[in-house]
Amino acid sequence: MKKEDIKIAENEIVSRILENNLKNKKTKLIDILYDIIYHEKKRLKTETKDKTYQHDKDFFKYIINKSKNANKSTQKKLLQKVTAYYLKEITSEFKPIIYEISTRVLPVSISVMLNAMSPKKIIKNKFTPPPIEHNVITTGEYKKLQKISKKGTVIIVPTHLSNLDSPLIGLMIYKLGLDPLVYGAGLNLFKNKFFGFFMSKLGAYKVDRRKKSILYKQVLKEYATFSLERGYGNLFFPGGTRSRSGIIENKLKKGLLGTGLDAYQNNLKNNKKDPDIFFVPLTLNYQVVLEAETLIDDYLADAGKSRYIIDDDDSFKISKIISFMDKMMSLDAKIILNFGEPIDPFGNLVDENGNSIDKNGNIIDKKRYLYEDGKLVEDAQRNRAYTEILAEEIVKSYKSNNVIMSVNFVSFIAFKLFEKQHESSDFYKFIKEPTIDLSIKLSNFYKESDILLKKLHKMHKNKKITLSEKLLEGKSEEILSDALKFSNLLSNEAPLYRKGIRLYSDNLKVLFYYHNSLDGYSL
Amino acid sequence: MDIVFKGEFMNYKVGIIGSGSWGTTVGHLIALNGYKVSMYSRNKKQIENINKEHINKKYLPEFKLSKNIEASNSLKEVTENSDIIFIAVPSHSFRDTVKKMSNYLRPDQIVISLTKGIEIKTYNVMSQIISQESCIKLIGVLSGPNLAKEIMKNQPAATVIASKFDFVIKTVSKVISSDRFMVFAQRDVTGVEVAGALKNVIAIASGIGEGLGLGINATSFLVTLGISEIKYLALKLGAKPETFYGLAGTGDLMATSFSVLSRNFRFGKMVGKSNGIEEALKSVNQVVEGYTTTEVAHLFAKSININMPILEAVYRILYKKGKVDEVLSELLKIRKDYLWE
Repeated sequence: MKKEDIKIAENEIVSRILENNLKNKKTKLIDILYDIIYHEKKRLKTETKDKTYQHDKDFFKYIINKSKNANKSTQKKLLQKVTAYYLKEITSEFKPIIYEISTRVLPVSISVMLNAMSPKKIIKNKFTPPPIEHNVITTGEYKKLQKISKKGTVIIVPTHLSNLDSPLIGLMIYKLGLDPLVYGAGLNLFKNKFFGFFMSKLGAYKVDRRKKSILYKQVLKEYATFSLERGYGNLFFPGGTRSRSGIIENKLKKGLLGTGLDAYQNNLKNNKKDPDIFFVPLTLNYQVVLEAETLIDDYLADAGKSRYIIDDDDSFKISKIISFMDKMMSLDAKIILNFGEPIDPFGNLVDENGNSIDKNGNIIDKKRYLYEDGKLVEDAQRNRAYTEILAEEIVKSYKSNNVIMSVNFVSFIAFKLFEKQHESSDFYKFIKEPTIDLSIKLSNFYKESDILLKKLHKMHKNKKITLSEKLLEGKSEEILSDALKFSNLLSNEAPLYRKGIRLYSDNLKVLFYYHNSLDGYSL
Repeated sequence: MDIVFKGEFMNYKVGIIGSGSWGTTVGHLIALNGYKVSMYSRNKKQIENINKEHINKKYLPEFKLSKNIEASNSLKEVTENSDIIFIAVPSHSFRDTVKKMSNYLRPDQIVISLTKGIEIKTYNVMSQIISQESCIKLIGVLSGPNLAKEIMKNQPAATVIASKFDFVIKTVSKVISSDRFMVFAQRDVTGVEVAGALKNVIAIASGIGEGLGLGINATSFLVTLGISEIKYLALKLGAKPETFYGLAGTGDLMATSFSVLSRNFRFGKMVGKSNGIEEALKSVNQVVEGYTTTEVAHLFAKSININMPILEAVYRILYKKGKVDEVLSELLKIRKDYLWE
């Protein structure tokens, strides 16, 4: 957000949050304060003892002392204080001037990074960013996105596989000629040299996932709501975190999603011009995911319950990213950003003029979703139910726009065949430490491949899934050899390789990871 | 089953789409509470009967209807002028009806399905069809042990309104509940709908048992197995198990499986007495939803790999020319070992 908007935001958000909590009859102010104290005490016990730690400790000590026997008016003041404290941290690194400049410069620098160009080469080329469209492909309904972003405020809701997602989306949004997006990024990303550089200077605000208090979540949501009302497009990852398993998101976080409807309702109440909010689902599809191995390890270690923060992830050293990109480009690996149809906060499709339409093409007067007995009524339960419907529609969109590439396809078949050979019922043990030498006959692979390909073609035609060009045009043999090309890039121990007429795997975990993008399609 | 709302007067206009026995009964209940009810029918003679003589001659000839009910043959007018709309048309024409209504519907209207069934090919339940074909989100489902004729006789009954929206639950309860008709609220729309549709198949099974003279022991066995079978399928679709112990589950199943007032039971009984299927359908003289549901549910269960022995038995009898006594005795065959319940 721009400087002047941030100033207004601070006052507005502090007063809104107090007002909302006073309205809530179920939870008293003092309960919110106790909740803050409980969670902050717990968090500070595990925190590294640095400058921020001391600052936080002093602040919350003060809040604890003042909360004892506090009357209602002190409670209100304390709540406002903590709100302002949280808000300051969320927006702290943000420098409006640098933001203005970097929205212009940044895409170039990301582009350079992704092309792994050395500074010397850049100077030689007179600073023209090399085209990366060959490898990073934008497809789907992006033209609609361009049109509707002039009619209202857009929230991009992508799937989340990699930490490269947000810089890539930032870059593509710029290339589409759209304004930069406001988005929340994990505190750990700000600490990373590569991402920290971009994040702090982009529209990113800080999200500290270790802060678990009710109030902190309220502040984050209100910040997003407010920025939407001021007309800033937002980027939410509704899955909450990178998919650990490689399975496409099927359960979304409704708290943040609901801010779209809140902003729309506020816009109507304030008679704002262009009050509309549009959600645009986006699937990110990589032939090769940089941090796949770390992610799947985390998934298996916790049997599906992902830790939020991976501290020991070294995938994001600048040198590693550059060498990864370099290899990817030379092998012609693709990254596909597939934009879905835009939807309104109630889950209806939106046409290119920004009108919500039903399946039979009737234009919907959508403000009436918020009417009861003929007038606009605020109803929290109703709005939550609408957001559930919206979440279902986004999940549907993800499923049909998920682009399956050769690595996913081949991994799926190979993994299923390896799994069949294995007799033990302990699945996790099987993929972590396979005790037998696994191999499959090529002829078996091709047999299964032909069957699956036929099925997927039909599903693609019915818009149940999206296939990459290679899968649409290639034969089983070509698809396999395309996928095997990347095998060494996927991991140090090859997930799949060919020797004579058989296929082998030295890394079932990673094979499982890529196989998972076809999970949930009842294949 | 937690919230019970008392009826109170508000100025809602209510529309009923379809003028079969259940649609008419629901319209009558609401009209008795003082609301204006407009009822859509395609049949001109029926419209005249209802408006002039206040009788639905075809389906409920022995009852006088409330004068607050007005019948109309304009789908547009009934749809446009109603705040709350109940749809009570057979499941096979449900999608088509909603499609036609979609031109006239607005987002602040409430639409309630009274129809119990699963659509052929898509395996959709009625609430899904409403949301797919129209702008309506304020959707609800009314279901329970509600035999129309008992309600028309002013005998006491209870029902379930299921919706994702509290507003829908409150509003529908307001217009329909009375001293003789108690309303319970539910969030589990899927559970209520699947139970409502599939219980008709179990009712047919129960009717067949009765027709064959198997006795109440065997019939109770069939019905009990039936509900766990339905529950199993519904859980796969995201329903909640508790729903099946409530009014829309066990409650509805009991009313339908043991009463001659139930069409599905009567149909089953005729089949059990070894009358042909055609003849049995004819003698009921109304839509037997369970007949269609049997085939749809059979295909659906097959597509998601679920074993439903009672459903399969009914399917074989109705669609595969299975001999009634053979199929049933195979189903009820005494095994030498035992099974865990």
